[in-house]
Amino acid sequence: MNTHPTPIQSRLPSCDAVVEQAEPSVIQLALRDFAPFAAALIPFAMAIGTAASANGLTLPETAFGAVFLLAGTAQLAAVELIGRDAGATVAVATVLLINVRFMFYGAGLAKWFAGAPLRHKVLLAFPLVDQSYLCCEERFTTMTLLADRYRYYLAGTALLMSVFLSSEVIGYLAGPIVPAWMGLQLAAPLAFTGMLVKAVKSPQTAVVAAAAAVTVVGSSGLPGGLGLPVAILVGVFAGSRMRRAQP
Amino acid sequence: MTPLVIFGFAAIGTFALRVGMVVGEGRLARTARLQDHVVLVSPAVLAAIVASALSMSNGGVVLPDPVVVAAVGTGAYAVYRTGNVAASLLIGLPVYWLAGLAGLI
Repeated sequence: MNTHPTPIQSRLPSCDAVVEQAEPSVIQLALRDFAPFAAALIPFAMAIGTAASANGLTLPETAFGAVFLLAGTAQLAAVELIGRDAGATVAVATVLLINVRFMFYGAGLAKWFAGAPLRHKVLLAFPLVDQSYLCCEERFTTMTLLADRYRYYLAGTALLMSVFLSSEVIGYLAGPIVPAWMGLQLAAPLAFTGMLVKAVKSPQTAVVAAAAAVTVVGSSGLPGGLGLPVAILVGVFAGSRMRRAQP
Repeated sequence: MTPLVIFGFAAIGTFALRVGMVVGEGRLARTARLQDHVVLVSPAVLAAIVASALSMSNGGVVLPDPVVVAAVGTGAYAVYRTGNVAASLLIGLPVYWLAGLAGLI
């Protein structure tokens, strides 16, 4: 029997190769899952960079915020408050208020890496963000090996961090060069508007948003940029009252 | 206080929030009352920032620029229709540019 491959067979991938292509490695899987989130981060991170430049922050300060805070919404809020000369306490308190959701993500991480040493879990918590939580929460229902989870989580968060930081730096550098008619100062409000539309999912969240918007304008006279944290608290309070009032 | 110090404190606090549940094994996060309130924080933050960007300048209330309102409104509608958050930038900015070409800015 002739075992030599025909010219057509020699151009086809072997069965082993097909199997390898059909089963991506854990890292490939992570990159594939995180890629859409990373792509969506680009305009948002560029908007933060542009806002930081417009509010007088230096590039190292902006990059420091991006790397160590690793929370876009909170960083943008902090940048806006710094630009308005709000007090440091108000800026830090606002950031923490915005980031309180990370507590829940931490609970998720504790569950995913239940078998890992505590020092590993503490380090893994550093790059924990909305996108990594969403991806891992879904993927780890089927991915049970701890080593695979490590690789998946680290590869995905590395992708997010690198895209986030580089986009912020590009936005920062491009901000002053881009002519005024391009309206890059609008990038941040537009990015937030997009997120707001997605966040308002029910009458309750609509009430929260309306109450916060009215309060922030009404409390413009408050000193030290206190209007923003006050508006957040009033919005949350209005939403919780509405829930209580519902039968 | 410099922005670097503000970011530093904010980063330490944020890391504490991330790691708190890891050390506490998620006990606090399982309380339903806290969960109910935390989901309301995002819309409150976002609405407050958008409202202040549209209607405040130098700490005072100003009438929103109609062109900016049109750009933001169109961007919001684009996100509502497509479900894609980036659509607010992809549609809102061109609306602003067109208004500029039409001499409205």
